[in-house]
Amino acid sequence: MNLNIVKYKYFYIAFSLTLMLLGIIFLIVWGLKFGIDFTGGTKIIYNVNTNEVTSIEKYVPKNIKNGSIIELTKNQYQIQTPPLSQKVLTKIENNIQSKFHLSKPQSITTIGPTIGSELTQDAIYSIIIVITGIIIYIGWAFRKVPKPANPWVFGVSAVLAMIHDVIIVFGAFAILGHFFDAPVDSLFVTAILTVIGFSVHDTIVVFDRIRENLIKTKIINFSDIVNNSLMQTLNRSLNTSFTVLLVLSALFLLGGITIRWFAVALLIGIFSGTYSSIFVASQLLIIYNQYKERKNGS
Amino acid sequence: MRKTKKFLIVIILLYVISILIDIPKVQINLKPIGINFNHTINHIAINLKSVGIDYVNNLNPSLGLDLKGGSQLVLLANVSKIPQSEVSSAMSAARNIINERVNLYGVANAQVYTEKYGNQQRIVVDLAGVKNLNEAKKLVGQTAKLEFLTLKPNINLQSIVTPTIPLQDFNPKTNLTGADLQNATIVYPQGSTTPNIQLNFKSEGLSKFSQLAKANVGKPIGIILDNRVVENPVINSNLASGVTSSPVISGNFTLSQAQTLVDQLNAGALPVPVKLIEENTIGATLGKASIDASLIAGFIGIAIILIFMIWNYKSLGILADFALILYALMAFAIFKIIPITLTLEGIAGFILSIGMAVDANILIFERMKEENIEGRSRKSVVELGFARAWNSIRDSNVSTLITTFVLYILGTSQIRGFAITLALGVIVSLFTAVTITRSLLEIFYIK
Repeated sequence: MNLNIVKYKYFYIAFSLTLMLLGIIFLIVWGLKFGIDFTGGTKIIYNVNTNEVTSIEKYVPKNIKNGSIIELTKNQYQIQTPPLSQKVLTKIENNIQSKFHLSKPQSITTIGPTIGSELTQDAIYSIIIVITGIIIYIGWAFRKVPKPANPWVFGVSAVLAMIHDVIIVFGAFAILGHFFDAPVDSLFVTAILTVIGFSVHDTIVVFDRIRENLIKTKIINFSDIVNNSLMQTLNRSLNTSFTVLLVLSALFLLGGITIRWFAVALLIGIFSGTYSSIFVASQLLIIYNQYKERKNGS
Repeated sequence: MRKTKKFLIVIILLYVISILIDIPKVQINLKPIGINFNHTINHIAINLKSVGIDYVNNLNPSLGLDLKGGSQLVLLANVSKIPQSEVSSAMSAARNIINERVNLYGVANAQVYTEKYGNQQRIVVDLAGVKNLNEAKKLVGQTAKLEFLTLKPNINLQSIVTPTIPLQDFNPKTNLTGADLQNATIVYPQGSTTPNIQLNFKSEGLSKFSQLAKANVGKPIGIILDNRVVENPVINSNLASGVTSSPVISGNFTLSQAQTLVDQLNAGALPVPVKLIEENTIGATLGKASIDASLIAGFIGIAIILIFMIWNYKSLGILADFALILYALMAFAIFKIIPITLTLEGIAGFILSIGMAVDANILIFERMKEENIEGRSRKSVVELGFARAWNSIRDSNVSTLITTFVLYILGTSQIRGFAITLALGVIVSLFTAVTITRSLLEIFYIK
C-alpha cells in the first residue's frame, strides 16, 4: 500500500484549524460545565427507589442560584449546589431524606470555594512544565537528525499537535456539557493530561521512523521520506489506537457512572492524538522544511 | 539452548510468584457438587522477621475511600504566623492532636496525615465509617474541653482496678479549666532521663491551681479531656503551702507516653489554626459498585486485547498474550507490595498502561513483519525487529514517564494516584515487552 498522504498537507492543516476554531467558538459561547472541584460547592448523590422520579426536583430550594439536579442513572440523582452553610445543607438533606424515606445519601462531596482557582493554576503549571519537558526531551533524542532537519522543530511540531488534541477535547466538552451536562472536574484534568501523554507518545513513534529514514536514506527529498515513514508506521498506529479505543469503550460502557465522562474525554483525545500524529505533526515538519528550503533558495 | 531454558524457568517463576501474591481471599466450598473440599484460599504474606529484618507485609490490597467507602476531611492549616523552620513540627503536633481527638471520639480506623499541596499545609482525616460524620467534622476543627476535677469524698482508691480513676468518681466541676492552661511541655528533671510534664498555667490559672492543690494534698486530681480521664496525678505534699511556679507531673513516662499526654493537654489549642476546606463521603455501596464496574471493565478490556493480538498476529499473538498476562499480574503484585492505594483514577491509569504495553508488542511485531524478507533467518528477523523497534518504544515511554513525573509532583492526591499506577505500569511494560516477549520468541519461535 502506498498513498501520497503528504500531497494534501495544507488541506489537513486547514481542516484542523477549522475544527480548533469551532472548538474555541463553542467554548466561548457555551463555556464548560465546571464541577465543584473548580467552583467549590457541594455534590450529593441519592438513590431514590420510588416511581416519583420527576418530583425529586421539588426539594431543591429554588433560592439557590446555580444549583442543579440531574439524573445520573435510573433512580440515581445528583444534586449540586454552590458553597452553602452547613445549616442549609443539612436542611436540604433532611428535606429529601424525609420525603423519600432515605437514610443516607450515596455520597457527599464538599469543596471549599478557594480550591478551584488553585486547581486551575496547578493544572496550567503542570501543562507548561510537561510541554517544556517534552520539547527538551525530543530536542535531545533527535539531536542526531541530519541537516536540514532541525531537532527542535520535531519537538515543537509534536507539542503543536498535542495542543491541537487538547483544544479538540475542550471543544468537545463544551458541546457535551451544553447538551448532556458533561462535567469538567479533576477527572477531566487527569484525562487531559493523559491525552497529552498519549498524543506525544504516538507522535514520537512516527517521528522516530522519520529520523531513522533520514539517517538511512541519502536522497534528500524530505517530503517523500515523511510520506514513506507514515506508510510504514500506519499499521502500528491503527492497531495500537484500535486496542486502546477498545479498552476505553469497555471502560465507558461498564466502568460505572463515576468514570464515564473520563472515558469519553480519553476516547476523543486518543482518537485525535492518533489523527494528529499523522495529519498535523508530520505535515508541520514538511511545511517548515519547505519554508526553510524556499528561504535558502531565494 | 541452556540460556533459553533458564529464561523459561524465570518466566514460570515470575508467573507463580505473581499469582501467589495476587489471588484474592476466597472461600472455596465444593460440597454442593459432592466433593469434600471447603477451604479458604489466600494470597501469601511477606514476613522477614525470621531472617532478622523488621519487615512484615500482609499484601492485602489497599483501597482508596472511593472504592471502600468512607469519609475524607481536608483541613487547611494557617501557618502564616509560624516561622518556616517550625512549620513541620507544628504540623505534626497538630496532626497528633487531631488524631487524638478523632480516636477519642471512637471513630474506628481513622487515619490522620499531613500533606503538602503547593504552598498549602494540609491535614487529611480519613474515616473508614460514615457514621456521625457531622460530629466528627465538628470535632476536628473545634477546641477540646479540658477540665481539672477533684475526687468525690468517700472514694476508696484501693478498690479501683482500671488504670485511671473512673469519671463518675470525680466531682463534676471545679473553677480550673483548660482555659487557664497556657500550654504543656516535656521537661527533664536535673540528672534524669525520664520525661516529666510541665503545666504552664496563665497567672490567674496558677492561683486557682494553687488553691486546688492546697485543698487536695495527697489526693489525685483528674485531668479530663472531652469527658475522658487521661491522667490522675496525685498532689505532692510539698505543694501544701501553695504553688508559685509551673507544676510538674512526674511518673514513669516513656517519651512517647509523655508526648501523647502533652498533645492531649494542648488539645484545647491547636498549634496552628485549621479550616475545613474539603469533605468527601462515599457510601459503601457506591464504592462497591465502582470497584465491581472497573474490575469488569478492566477484565473485559484485557480480554479484548488478548483476542485482538491473536487475531492479528496469530501464533506470535499467543506469545505476546502470555507476556501481557504476566505484565498485568506483575503490575498488580507490585501495587500490593509497595503498597499503592488503589482509587478509581489509579485503576484508570493502570488500564491505560495496558494500552501502552500492547503498543510495545505491536511495534515489535510490525517491525518484524517488515524485516521478514526473503532469505533472512527467524533469528535475525527477531533481532532486527527488536533492535529497530526499541528506539520508538524507549522514546515514547520516556515521554509518558516525564508526564507522569510532573503529574506526581504537582498533582492532587487523585491525580497522583493516576500518575503512579501509569508510571509503574509503563516501567513494568518496558520490562515484560522487551524481556519476556523476547525470551518467549527465542524459545518458541526461533527454536
